[in-house]
Amino acid sequence: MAAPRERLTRLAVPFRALAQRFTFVVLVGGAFALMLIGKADTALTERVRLLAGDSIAPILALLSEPVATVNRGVRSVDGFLNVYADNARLREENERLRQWQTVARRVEQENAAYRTLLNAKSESRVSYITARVVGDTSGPFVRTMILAAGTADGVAKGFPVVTGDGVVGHIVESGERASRVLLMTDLNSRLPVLIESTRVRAILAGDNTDRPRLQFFANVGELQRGDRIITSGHGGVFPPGLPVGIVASVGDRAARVQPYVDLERLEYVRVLRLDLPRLSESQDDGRAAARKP
Amino acid sequence: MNERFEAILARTTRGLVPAATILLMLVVSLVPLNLPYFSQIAPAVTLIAVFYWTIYRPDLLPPAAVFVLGALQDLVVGTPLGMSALVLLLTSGFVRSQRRALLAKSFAIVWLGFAVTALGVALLSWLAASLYFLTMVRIVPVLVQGAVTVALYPLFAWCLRQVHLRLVG
Repeated sequence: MAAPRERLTRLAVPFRALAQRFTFVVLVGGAFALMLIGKADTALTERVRLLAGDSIAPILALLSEPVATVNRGVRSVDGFLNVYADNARLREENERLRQWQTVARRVEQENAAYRTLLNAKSESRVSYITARVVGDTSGPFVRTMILAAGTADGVAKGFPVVTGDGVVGHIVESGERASRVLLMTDLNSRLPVLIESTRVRAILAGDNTDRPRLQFFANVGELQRGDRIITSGHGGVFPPGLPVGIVASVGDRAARVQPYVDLERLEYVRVLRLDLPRLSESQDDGRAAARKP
Repeated sequence: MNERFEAILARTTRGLVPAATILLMLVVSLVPLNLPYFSQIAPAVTLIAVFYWTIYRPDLLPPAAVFVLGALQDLVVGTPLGMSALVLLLTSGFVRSQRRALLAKSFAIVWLGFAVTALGVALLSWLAASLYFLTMVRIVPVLVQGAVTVALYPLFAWCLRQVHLRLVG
């Protein structure tokens, strides 16, 4: 009884090794095939990604809660220790801001007056969706984050993401409950911007470093360190005038920008829902779907 | 009958432990820690786990499982779909072939083996990403991440060993 069986095993071993090697090669080929399919960027891969994001978001939301609590605790202790210094700084800042407020009020009224004089069209209406950051998926290859808000909350692909400090990035995938933000530092991020003082247009191109690069259409002109960079509103994704960052270094061909937002420490962000003027309604499908209650 | 069923159940559960630990480590690694500069150098925990299980229990982590886990990682992390699957699969294949050289050796030798593997993985994934994005991805962060992963290997290997001894036996 034992002998034939043993013989069978002895025969089966090389076959098994062969089968294993075959499986391995097929799987490696499968991985290559996946990369090709993903590169072609079919609707299918996007759907699968959305599904994965939707299923992992609730787990991440649960797990990130204690971490966020610890961070908040550390920050409150930190705030308590620095209360004197902070107070002095804030008082000074408050005084300065009050002056700015006066200026802003005056300018606002002036603007409104000019607008009526010129009969200028106001551009867009903006509403916010506040979302919690539940997943930090940044690494050497991609700079993205997962938000615990999706199409069910009115978030849709292409919407800009900001904080009170400035631009964060934009939504690249939006599932029912979760969405993915492409940070402006990502390799694939291209943001149309303006130099605030000179109104020169440029593209802010991410390259997976902390400081994205400014690419100009024409010559750089007078660009200085510390110049403010704002969104230009070209391309229709971002509303014009959102603060992006300040010029951190100026080289021969490219300048780098330090974002206003600390992209490493985001807890809550705001997704902007805007109704920009558009040429046709057909481009509006994502937004129309998002508006449905 | 009942005993046999229990035995089968126990064996199945044990068989799922490696894949489950990899999945768990992947999910935990995505939780935002809000530490400055951490997210870019965060260790590639799935690499550690695939390396560990392939050395000590290759029977419980077949290539198909590695493929699925890698693809899942790509889906949730947002890396090109198939990239982690490819890299982890080749890692498991390489480690499988070198298994005998590492198995009964001291921890330092295994650690060195991991360092060599991690270097290969860093270069390979850098190449794959650069080809995929059709641009030169910066290599320094990739190497730094690899170094951090190697430095933290003993810690994660110890944790995996505890799971290995208690749950798999």
